[in-house]
Amino acid sequence: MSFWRMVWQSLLYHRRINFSVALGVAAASAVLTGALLVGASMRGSLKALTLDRLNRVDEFLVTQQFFQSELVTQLQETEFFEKNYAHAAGAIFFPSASLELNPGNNQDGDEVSRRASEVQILAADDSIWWFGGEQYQPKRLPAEGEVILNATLADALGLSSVDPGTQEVLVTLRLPKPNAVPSDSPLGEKEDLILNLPRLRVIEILPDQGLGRFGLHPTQLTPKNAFVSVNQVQKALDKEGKLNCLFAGTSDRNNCPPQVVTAQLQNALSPSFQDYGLLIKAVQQDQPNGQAVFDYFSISSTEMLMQDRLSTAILESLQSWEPEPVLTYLANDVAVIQPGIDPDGESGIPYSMIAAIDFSEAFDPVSAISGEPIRDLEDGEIVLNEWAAKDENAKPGDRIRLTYFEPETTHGQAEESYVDLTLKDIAKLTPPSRPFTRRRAAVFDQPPTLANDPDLTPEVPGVTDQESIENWDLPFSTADRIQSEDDQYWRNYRTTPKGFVSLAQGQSIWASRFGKITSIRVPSQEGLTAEKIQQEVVATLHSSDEGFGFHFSSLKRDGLKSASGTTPFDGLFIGLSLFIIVSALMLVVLLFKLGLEQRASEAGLLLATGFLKRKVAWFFGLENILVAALGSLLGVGVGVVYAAVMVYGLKTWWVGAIRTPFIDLYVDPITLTVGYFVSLFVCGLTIVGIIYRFQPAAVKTLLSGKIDSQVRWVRRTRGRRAIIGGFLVIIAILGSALTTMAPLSGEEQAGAFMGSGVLLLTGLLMLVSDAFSRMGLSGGQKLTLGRLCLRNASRNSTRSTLTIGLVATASFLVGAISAFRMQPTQEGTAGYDLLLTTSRPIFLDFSDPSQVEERFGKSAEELSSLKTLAFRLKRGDDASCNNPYQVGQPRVLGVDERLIKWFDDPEHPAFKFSGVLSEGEGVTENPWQVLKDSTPVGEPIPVILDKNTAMWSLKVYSLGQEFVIDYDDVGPVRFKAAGFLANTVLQGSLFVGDKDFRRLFPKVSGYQYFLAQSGGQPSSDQQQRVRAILESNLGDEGMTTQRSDVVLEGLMAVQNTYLSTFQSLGALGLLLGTFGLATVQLRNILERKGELGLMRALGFAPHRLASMVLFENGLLLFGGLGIGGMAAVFVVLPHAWVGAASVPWTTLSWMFVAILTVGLLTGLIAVRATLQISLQQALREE
Amino acid sequence: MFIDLGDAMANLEVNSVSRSYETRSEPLCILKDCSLNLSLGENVAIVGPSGSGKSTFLQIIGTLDAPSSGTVLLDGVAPFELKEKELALFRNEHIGFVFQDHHLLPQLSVLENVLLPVVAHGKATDEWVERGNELIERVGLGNRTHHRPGELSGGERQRAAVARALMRKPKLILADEPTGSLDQANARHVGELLVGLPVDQPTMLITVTHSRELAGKFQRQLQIEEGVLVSSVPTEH
Repeated sequence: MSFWRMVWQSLLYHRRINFSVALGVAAASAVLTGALLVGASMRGSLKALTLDRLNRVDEFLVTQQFFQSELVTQLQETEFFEKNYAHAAGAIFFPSASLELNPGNNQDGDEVSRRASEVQILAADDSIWWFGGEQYQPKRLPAEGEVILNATLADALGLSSVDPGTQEVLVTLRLPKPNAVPSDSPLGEKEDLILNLPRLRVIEILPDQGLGRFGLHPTQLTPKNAFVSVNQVQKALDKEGKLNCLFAGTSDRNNCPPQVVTAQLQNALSPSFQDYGLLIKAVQQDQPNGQAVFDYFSISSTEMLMQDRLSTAILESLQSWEPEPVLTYLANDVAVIQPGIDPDGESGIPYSMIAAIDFSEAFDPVSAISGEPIRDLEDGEIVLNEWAAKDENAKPGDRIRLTYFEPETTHGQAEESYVDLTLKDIAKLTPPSRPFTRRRAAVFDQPPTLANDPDLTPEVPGVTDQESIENWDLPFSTADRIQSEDDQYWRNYRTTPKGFVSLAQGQSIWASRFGKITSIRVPSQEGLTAEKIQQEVVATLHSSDEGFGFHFSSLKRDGLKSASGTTPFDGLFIGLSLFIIVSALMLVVLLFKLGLEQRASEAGLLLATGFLKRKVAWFFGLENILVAALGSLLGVGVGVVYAAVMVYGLKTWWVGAIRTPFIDLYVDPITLTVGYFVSLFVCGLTIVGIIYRFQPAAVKTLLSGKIDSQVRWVRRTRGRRAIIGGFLVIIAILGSALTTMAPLSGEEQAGAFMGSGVLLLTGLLMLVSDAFSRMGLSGGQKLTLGRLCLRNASRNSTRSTLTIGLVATASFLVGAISAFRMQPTQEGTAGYDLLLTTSRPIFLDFSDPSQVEERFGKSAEELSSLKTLAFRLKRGDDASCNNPYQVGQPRVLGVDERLIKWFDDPEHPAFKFSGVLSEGEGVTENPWQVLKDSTPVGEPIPVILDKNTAMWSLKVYSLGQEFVIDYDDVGPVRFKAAGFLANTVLQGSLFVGDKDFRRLFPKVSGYQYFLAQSGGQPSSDQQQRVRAILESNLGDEGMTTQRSDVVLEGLMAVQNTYLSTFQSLGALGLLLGTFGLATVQLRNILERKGELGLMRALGFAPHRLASMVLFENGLLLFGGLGIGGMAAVFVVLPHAWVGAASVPWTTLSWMFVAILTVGLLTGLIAVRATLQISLQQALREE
Repeated sequence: MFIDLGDAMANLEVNSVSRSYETRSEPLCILKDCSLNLSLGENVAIVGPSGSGKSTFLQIIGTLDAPSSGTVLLDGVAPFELKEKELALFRNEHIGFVFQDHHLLPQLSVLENVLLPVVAHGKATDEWVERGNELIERVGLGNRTHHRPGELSGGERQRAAVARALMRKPKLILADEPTGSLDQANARHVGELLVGLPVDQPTMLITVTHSRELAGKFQRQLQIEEGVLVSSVPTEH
């Protein structure tokens, strides 16, 4: 026989008590493993969703400009691509179009027209389908006039049960029109922004798999996808042979290439000069004698203005050829300021091109007055050409007023401004002998001058290519001011500028977020060709890290990274299951100690036989560690079931927490192993801790056979225990108060909250234990049945304290968590009952009755009480708690002055803020003021965001904290948290000031997100009517209306559902507590069998003894409820104080009554055992 | 009172041993100034009324309890001066116990219970197992070697306990009411076994008992009253 055999024999012999300890260990292990598995399942499911969403798509490129389709072929043919990737394909991709089911085509055959917005359009040839996997390809590709829908889109249109093979279904596709001129520019188109592809026949409905599931953003929601003929879209957009997106992928569906390979892919791509949206033109004007008047290359952009980064790069690359930047702008009016008369902006020359260019040797138009070249044009000066000076009768020294539109519009409204300049000189202008025609430039008999240069103005389709000014396709009318001489000028000189200002002067008034240069002139030089310039520019742009619109997004790598989840679910579940784990451990302690006490005489014998105390401890310790090992193993098995139940719960009862039931159970060996060993470690440590504190009393007493008070446990002295307990209580309360203010992450907040709870409970339980000890020592008081009960409970103070602890833990969990349930409030919506979003930006100003009337016609009257606040929208990931993915590029909303002013009025209901950086006047009263001013370049952009979005999604924990978001199109942006919204409908987005927004995202025009007051109550007729009108009239723009209270409720449902989940865990804790209570009571009865028998012999009636036992049970139960309730109140109060929690007293009271009832019913088990005691047997044992 | 039962060179010397306990009111004195000398080969029964302190005296001799004052020497070694580990080893090697409640581990067989003292500081080698079997044979449990305590009668259990006490060939065997929970026949049987212990070497045996019949089997009887060793009576055989 060996020591180990002894341990093994003992393990088997004491299997009953060991099994009960193992069950306790199993409970802890199950909760721990279950929590880890839920986390693993969440990550696994998100990863599976990501792989389903992307399949073989590893890298994705989408450009603002369209590029030649050859670019894809060139890429595929590179050695690098062949080595590292399997396939590439180009397509035309629109992330946000809308689709309308033609009336009469839905499955019910009714006339209701159904729309779907936020539809992703993919127009491509068959090469694209490789990415979705062969098994998910359509039966055939859509030809012109045909469309394929995915199941989600079909469902949104009410076509889920339609068979396109037998039933003709027609839809209209509405695509955004690509604009050369940004819509927020005064020359940009604001209304005709939609391209309709009507009567497309649905030929197939694809399942939401393969490319049918493809989406750019990490979200568990399936995108709405439509597939159309690329040729049809190219024709409709007038972009034949061009594409705007590129897919690249490897054959390995489950993995993605490393980051360095993606970077090299970027380098392998060789966009051409034209692909960058650049144009080059050799501009040459000769005198009749053949001598050149001007001879240069003009580089311009298809977007009229060149993006700053692009123009800077081009200027640098062409430095050696002395390039000259030019900014040409449209002046609405050019007028001489007559003394005493203030020009009205309409009396001078209408609609003139003014070129901002530095006068130098390279550009020195001849003076019509002196015949000398004009040089050194200063700021504040202007040179008019001969025609304009004559028209206005202007002479050098006159003050000239230029009236023009501000370079950026707000709410679609172009605002006029002016600048007064001094006329420096008049540039000579040669009239042509034959004017311009559509096919031919003007012809000169007399030598033209440098000022005779229409190419100083960039090409603007719809404007510079028109025969008459009247035909200009502009968002404002020009016809009413055009006179015959203006048309004559157009015929003779076309876009030739009528005036010149210095570049600095021009840029000071016309530079905008869209750029500050319209063209770059490169003087013609020997050996310099357009090809050479293009090569130089392309080489520079290609070698730059900027990408200039050609930036690959590593969709799969980013997606897989996002799949790690916003929230570390295992951490969250462990954090909030902490109490259950602690409960289970307390149960382990309780059962283990009971077992040890029961086997005290065994310890006595071993000691008497010569066993060392340490060896005796080892004996019991090893045995119970084996028990823990077996219990943990059992727990891992139960943990799988527990996780399966939790996952099932998240798919059904608690689906509100994750929006869609996408989660599946993922059981991986690593998680199980980690769960097993962590459980074993924690439980083993608990057991070792007990053994360490186990100090057998004198051997003789151990041997005596009495188990009551045989075993002495190392204890703090009573006084010290009370002091430590009191200290812990104070620390916990202070800690809880501090967590409401400290910059902690969401997980840390949860951890700190639970940590405070654990400390508080421990402190209170130490005080209770101390009180029991004192009670046990006190004597001499009048003995009553109640006092007897108290004395009985205090007889084994550790046991009673642990029992109270078990009940208290469950009560705390149930009580504290219920205080964090949320209800929608007016502060969550600021009185705005609707949220409006559009697929395409709109420029409509809802506050302008004339615009509303023009757009809505007869329905405008219904919208008379509609009030809106508009936001610019930079598309991105939903960072709200609705999205379990880790957010990489959250969407950004631009907040304009109107909103800030609205909330300046204290009469207006405001959104609730939980904190704001107090910078600037009036910020405390109206936190939106922090977004009022534009931020200097280089400084972090102040941002307002929801506190939950900040903490959970973006890991921003305190006001003033800076964080960087790397957007694919604009690069890294540094933000600074300037205000935290608290539980509002604005969750999930970043809010920045309008000025900052426009600088950050210059390509974004218009508004896509609105808060609206319908003028009616939620679900009132008025609200319904307003929604219907908006959705119907703005259907082309993909208008979607949502009730903000419903949206807010949905957002809160996530937190509330999590709380429900953890309350269910609290119920589990209660079960453990009840089990513990019953065990202790039964054990007490068994130990006191003789004593109870004696009491009966002394004349105690059975029912009186039963009452005593029940009272003892009630005492522990009430104690547990009281301590748990008190701890919950103390921990919740600081949070309630700052408004993050509210105590639902009624619900809580009912819950506690329920716990009490269950506990007392459990007590009846002990009562029954008491009544079954045989008097004779009990006395004999005594 | 000093009682010298042994030869000039006593193997057990108990000198002026007293034992008292602190209570809330005043110290409770259980043993007062008890002394005893014993040599190998001698056996003695301690008798006295309940609560007289005889078991406490035995436990102090057996090092299970420490005296408040006085000394105990076994073969010249003062066990209470030993460190805990040394004391455990000392007890294991030199003292064997037989308790009123046999205190057999229910999870172990008779043989394993008998081997328990060996396992306290090592492993039961084949030699030890052979000795265990031999002892079991000697106490008349040869047919019960692999039975569990639960399968034995009271007398058999106590005989197994006696075998266990002999396992390490101790110099001193202490028996505390060894027949207290046995019927008359079994008590007689166990008593005879104790007095005629199948030892391999001279051993000292001290038994605490209420039983005059058992006490009568010993060479000497000590009377203890209210914590004081009052008389030593040689038994007439």
